[in-house]
Amino acid sequence: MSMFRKIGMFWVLCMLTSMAHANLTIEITRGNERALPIGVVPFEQANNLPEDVAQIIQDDLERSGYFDPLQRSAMFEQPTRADEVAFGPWRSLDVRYLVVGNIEEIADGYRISSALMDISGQRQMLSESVTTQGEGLRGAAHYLSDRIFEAITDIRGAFSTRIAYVTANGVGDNMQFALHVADSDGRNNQEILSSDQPILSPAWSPDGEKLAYVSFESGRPSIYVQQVASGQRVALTSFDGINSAPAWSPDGKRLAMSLSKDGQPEIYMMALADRSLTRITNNSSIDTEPSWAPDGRSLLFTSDRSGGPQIYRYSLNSQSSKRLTYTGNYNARGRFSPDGEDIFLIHRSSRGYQVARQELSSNRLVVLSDSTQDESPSVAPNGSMVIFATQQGGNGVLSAVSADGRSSFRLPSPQGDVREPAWSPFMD
Amino acid sequence: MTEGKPYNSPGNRQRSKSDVGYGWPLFLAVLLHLLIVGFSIISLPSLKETPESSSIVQATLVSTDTFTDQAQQPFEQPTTDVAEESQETTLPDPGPTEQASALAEEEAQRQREAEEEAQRQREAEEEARRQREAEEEAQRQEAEEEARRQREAEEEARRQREAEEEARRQREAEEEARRQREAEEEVQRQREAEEEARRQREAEEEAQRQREAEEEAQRQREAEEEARRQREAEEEAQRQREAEEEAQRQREAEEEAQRQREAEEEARRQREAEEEARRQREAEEEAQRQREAEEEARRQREAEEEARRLREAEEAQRAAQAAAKARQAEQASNAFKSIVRNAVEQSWIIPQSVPDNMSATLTVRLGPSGEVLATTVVTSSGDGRFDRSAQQAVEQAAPFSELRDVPAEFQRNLRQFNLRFAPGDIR
Repeated sequence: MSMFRKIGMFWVLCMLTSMAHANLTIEITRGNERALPIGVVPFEQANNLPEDVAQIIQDDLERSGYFDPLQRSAMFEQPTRADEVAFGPWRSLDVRYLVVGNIEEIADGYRISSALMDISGQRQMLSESVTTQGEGLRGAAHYLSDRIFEAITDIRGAFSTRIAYVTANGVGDNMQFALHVADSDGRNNQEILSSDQPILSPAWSPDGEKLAYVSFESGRPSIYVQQVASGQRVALTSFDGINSAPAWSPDGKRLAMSLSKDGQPEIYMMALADRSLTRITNNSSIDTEPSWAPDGRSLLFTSDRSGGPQIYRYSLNSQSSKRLTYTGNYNARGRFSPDGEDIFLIHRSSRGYQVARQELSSNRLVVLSDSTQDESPSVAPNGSMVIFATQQGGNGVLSAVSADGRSSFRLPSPQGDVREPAWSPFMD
Repeated sequence: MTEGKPYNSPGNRQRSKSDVGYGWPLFLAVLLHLLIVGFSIISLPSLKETPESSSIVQATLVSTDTFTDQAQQPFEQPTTDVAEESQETTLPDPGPTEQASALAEEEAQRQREAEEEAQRQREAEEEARRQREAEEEAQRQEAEEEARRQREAEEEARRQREAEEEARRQREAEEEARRQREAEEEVQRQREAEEEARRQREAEEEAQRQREAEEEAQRQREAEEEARRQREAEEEAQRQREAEEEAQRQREAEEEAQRQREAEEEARRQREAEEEARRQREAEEEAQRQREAEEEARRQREAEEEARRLREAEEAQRAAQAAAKARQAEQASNAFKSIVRNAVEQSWIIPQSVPDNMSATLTVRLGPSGEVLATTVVTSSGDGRFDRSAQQAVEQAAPFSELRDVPAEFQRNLRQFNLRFAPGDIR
């Protein structure tokens, strides 16, 4: 007893001693849940330049939802080099970061020099210099956005990636469908296929060089794989019935898909080397919309085996499926986050069909979007955003929402119905 | 009744057997007889045309010899021409004389009759001979048949005998085997019986041995019992003797003790008296000493009390001073803490999608006028964004010029403090 008492007293003494040594501690429990204020000062550049590089960077950063750029009109001065930045005044504008830069013409193009300043810490965080030709200015701007974004958030920027989507124009028999590829900001878009029959489910290969998609051009669905750069393509499947939802494995060697050649739609895996098929699901319900886990060891798919559509996970190791979603009676089109810890999906809530995220560790489902007719979510390769198709004024448009739902934006896209967006992998 | 039946059935069987045995021979015999009669009828005319037979020639010779020598010549002709020769020769004969011819005719007539008679006789003899031969033949055949039947019967009988013999041998063998088995069984039984007997004998012997052993054990037990009783008796006697000796010794000892006690009592009484006297002296001395000590103690207590009162007064004064100081310090410190907290919270932008349970602790060092000299992360959140946001919040909130409002002697304590960023604590 006295032994314990001694130990106890010793412990109390120790605590007192350490407290005496410890500093005063102040608890900070509140903060602002807002985007980071950043200033992107217009770059010093020639007037005849086709692109406003600083504006592209500012738009990129704003679109990500992580940043709240300062209006140019509020900038009392416009430094273009790191050593010109006076921290005090920017600090008084509550700007945390400042991007400055200049573009000079060189022999075969332009050199863009840029710096990122930490206003609070009163230091330079980044200095980047890029050379490019005239048509590469947008790409260079996206590259700088990526570098700035990563320097501040520790998350790799995905502004240099691309998106694919399908447009539909006209009515009735005059419908014209087209497959487009554009920069992640929706600009610089190019049509890579057009058809008077529907095009569906574009999917990027892991190297970002090919697109798999479903085309009805022959009158019935077939899965094609097309080189984006050359337009060269090959019809991969043309089985009886449904040929749908191609999904590349992370190693690019296999394509998961949904085929109904043996009855109702089931998930199959095709080895691209020899086009051999492996059937993965086998039951009397509809199994479709496969999507690979980042590690390639499992697949998500949508199945109505429980009555309504729900998302299941098929493990290639155990060759068994496990239901993942239990919230509500409609969860479909599941897509993994790049770290494999979350899935994004379309959830039918009381408001309608919305993009939602489910944390796999807790199975908590959070609705992200405000729109109500959402479909086809596709996750940015850095997991920060989800692009999806939704309806606006009776037209299909593309929208994106940040992974935590805090910010969202609409992508500019061509006229007509826009659907089936697919976010490319990192292009490197 | 029981005897008739066995007689009947073998009889019937024998008759039916003889039907089979004699039926055919009888039929054959009758057939043979009919054939013989038939042949004899058919062969009669042909006999006339066989005069070559020696018996016919002999018969002619006999009759010639008997009746005349004259007609011997022509009758020596071959028998086939006999009728013609005799007609030719007899026709010119009547010519010479009537008498002679009548005689000759008569003679010829007689001769013809004799010849016919002889012929008939021959035929009859022949007939008799054939009949005899047929009879003999039939007899022989019958005899042969009979002999054959007999042989067959004998053969049959022999086979039957052999079969019976065989059966008998078999029965005997069986009987023999049975006897042997019985004998073996008997032997087996005998062996078993012997075994049984042996076992019984052994059991009996065993029982006998056991009985003997038991008896032996019983005897031993009894002997032991006896020995024990004897020992006990001896021990009892011994004990008794010892008790008596003991009693004797005790009595003597008691007497001795009694004597000693009396002596000691005497001595004790003497010692007590002396002791009593000594105690009394000592008590008196002690009482004296105690009185002196009490006096001394009282004086000391009074002195101590005085000293304590003095100390307490000093202590109280010091405590009051310290408390006042502490209050002052705490007030200053709290005010400053609150200023820092508000400023940092206002400038802290919590990074997107950080888990609720994330926290980081920074140590902030201030200059004399409240400017931030350094912020260091002492406990990282594990998320660079979070740590940086906390650091930036401090940098953004600085300088904490309110430090100058704190009394100078407390400023030192406030120039270094910790900030713990934990949004989950309220979110």
